[in-house]
Amino acid sequence: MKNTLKSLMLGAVALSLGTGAALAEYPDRPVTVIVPWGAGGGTDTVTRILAAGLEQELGQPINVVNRAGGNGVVGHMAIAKAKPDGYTIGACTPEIAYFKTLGLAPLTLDDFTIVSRMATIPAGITVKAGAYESAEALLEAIKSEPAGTFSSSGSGVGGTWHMAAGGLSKALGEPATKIKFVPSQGGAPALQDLVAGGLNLFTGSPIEAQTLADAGEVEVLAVMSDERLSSYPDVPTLKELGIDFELKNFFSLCGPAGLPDEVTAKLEEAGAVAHAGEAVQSALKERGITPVWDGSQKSTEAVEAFSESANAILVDLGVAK
Amino acid sequence: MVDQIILALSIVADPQVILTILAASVMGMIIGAIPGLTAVMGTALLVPLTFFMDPIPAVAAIVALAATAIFAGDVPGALLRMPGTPASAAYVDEAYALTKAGRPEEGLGLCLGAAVIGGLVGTFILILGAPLLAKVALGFSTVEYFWLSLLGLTCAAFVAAGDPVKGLISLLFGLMCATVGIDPASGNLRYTMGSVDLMGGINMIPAMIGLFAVSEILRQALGRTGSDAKLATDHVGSVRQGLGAHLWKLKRNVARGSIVGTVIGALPGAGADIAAWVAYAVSRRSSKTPEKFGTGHDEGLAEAGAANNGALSGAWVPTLVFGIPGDSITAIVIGVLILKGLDPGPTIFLRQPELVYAIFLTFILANLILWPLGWLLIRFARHIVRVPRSLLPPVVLVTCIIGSYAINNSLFDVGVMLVFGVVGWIFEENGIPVAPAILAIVLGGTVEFNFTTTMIKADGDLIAFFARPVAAGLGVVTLALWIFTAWRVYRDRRKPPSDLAIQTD
Repeated sequence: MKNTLKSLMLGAVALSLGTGAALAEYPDRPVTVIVPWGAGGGTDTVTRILAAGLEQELGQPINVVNRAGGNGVVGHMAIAKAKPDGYTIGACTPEIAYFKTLGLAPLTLDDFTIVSRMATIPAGITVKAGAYESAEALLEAIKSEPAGTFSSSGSGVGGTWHMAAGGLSKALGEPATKIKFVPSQGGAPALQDLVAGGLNLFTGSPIEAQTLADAGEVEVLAVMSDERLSSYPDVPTLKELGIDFELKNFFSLCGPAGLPDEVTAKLEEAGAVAHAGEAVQSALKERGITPVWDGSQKSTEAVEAFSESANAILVDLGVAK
Repeated sequence: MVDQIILALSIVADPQVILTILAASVMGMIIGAIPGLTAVMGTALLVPLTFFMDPIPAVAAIVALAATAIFAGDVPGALLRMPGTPASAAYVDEAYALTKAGRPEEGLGLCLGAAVIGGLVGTFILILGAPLLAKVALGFSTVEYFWLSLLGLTCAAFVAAGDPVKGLISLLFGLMCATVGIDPASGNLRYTMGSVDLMGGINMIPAMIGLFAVSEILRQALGRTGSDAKLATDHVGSVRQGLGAHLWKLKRNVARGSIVGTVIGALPGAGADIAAWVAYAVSRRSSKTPEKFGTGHDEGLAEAGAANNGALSGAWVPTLVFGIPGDSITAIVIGVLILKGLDPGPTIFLRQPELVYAIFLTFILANLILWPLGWLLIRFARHIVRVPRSLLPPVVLVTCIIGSYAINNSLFDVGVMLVFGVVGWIFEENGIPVAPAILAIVLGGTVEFNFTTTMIKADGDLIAFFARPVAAGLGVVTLALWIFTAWRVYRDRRKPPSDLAIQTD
């Protein structure tokens, strides 16, 4: 009897070891990737392109699931609350750095494991075509004209492009709120309002402005990045104009906090191969998005640095809670 | 240009393109005919499939699916009083009344005829007037959008049948629901009660499924309308019989609906559903017999039925010309276009004219194919009414649940649907129309957000609402409608009921 019990226990131990071994062979079943934004949007597109490559590398189906709503809170919450086994991961966007600051959700960087950044999109300065001769002239006007002369848009209050407007004012040595920020639901309506004359600045991404810039309706004067964009080779960076400020939106592959190291490593490795593939590279470049795959450690550092500057700007803008 | 059109023809004549259009049309029929599965949802479900297609078949699939789904949405509307998609909601009572009167083929035939004509007219307007119409919409700022959405809500008050007070109750309930979630202007949480799911606001599609479908199931289950089984007819006659003559009689309505629908579709944010509401309201306002509306009258049915299909084509105008989506379907389309290297924007007409012409051709094809397929659907649809009544509610409820879940993969939305089902049932039992509530849920956020942003820009100066010429024009029209309606209600209350029939407005 005792022997039976012993062998049973041994069996149980062996079984648990067995599952331990199976974990090492991650993934042995389909993986779900939660996109906290709607289907067809930027995050969705980037994630789906990468997921197609990742599927081949991991040899398991990848289900991309959209959980939009609540300014990204709903989907990010689902990622953070998922069991950290690598079978539910997600696509995190900069909001993870300031959900708590804005009082939207008790989520911080500590609730996530960043596998890698997938792509970045810098902010820019876009005006209605013909409104200003050069970036210098515009920046001079922002400095000299009274507060409220300029109103910008591109995202909701506290969104990345709001920070771009605030950060730009600050970098010019003016109060962060000097450029009035009018919230909008995405880049497209803001750009349309710029053309319609309801706004005079757009601090969203030059990528979003591409079609209207090509149409000669708007003009991109500067990029808030450390290097010029391949799709705008003639547009100077703020740094070139003597202003030390950059702001980039990012898309990252992420999971809940406490993702096992071997899972993160496996995703990082498989993702790197998929990301380097022709399909992902050309699809991203076609959209004008800068492809990035910098791995868990580097991307976590980058996201932490972003979080620090973003939160400082949010406090200056008076929207931090 | 002739070379490019020939090139476009050769692209579209590919058997792969034709088969894709056919398959997508059948899929659209099924999705549209199932209440709770909308054209937008169908398009979203199609997107992963388009990843494996060439650019033109991918776009053709979306065009065909949307066009057929919008028509197919009329079928459950007529037979079960459940609009298959929100675009059929405006005239669902009209079509159902015809079915109750034993003439389902009349209503469905008109819907199909109007849909095909509306779709084709919309397509030709798209082809001829794309740059022009988009220029108009492009000049709109938040203040114009404010007035436009307010005009939409004002129309909802006109569509509200019977007592305007009850219509207002419904409207205000919808507006209240629209305030739930993160306020897009200030970023503050409102009425979320600590729920993460409520932060996203009340999702319109589960709410609509609940208000329209679940309330009906509840009503049947509770046996309040025991005669329902007899009301829905067993016999759907030949669709073609007399349809041509009937459509010719309504040519003014169909033509006006097609054009109004296309123009509204071309305005960013307003899609097939709003086009149908507005066209229905326009039809009622200009009818010689407005009192017949809601009782199975043909004018509003044909006008709105043409408008929603026209709007589908119209929505592509700003999408193609400026890369700004005209409705939620084209919002998804833009992602597909860019992925396929078809950068939407004015230069697409210069860089890839043959692809633009090919897209136009798929529009024509999709709308032509709608005729035989729609005819088949109507023939097949009569089997829906032959299904024992006790069998239908569970099946409908299951598809409602799947539909509510699928839109955002959220169980919470299933709960929203059930709650709104109960609310809808309470509304119906008390004679309160549910349609204004739905429109208020859709437009409430738009009205508020554009009001707030206009005020932020103008530092609270109310003059801003009339400071731009187009805004002033829209504002005057909206306010005039309010004053006129108020005056009419006042006049009607003072006059004896017998005088109501001879209004000349």
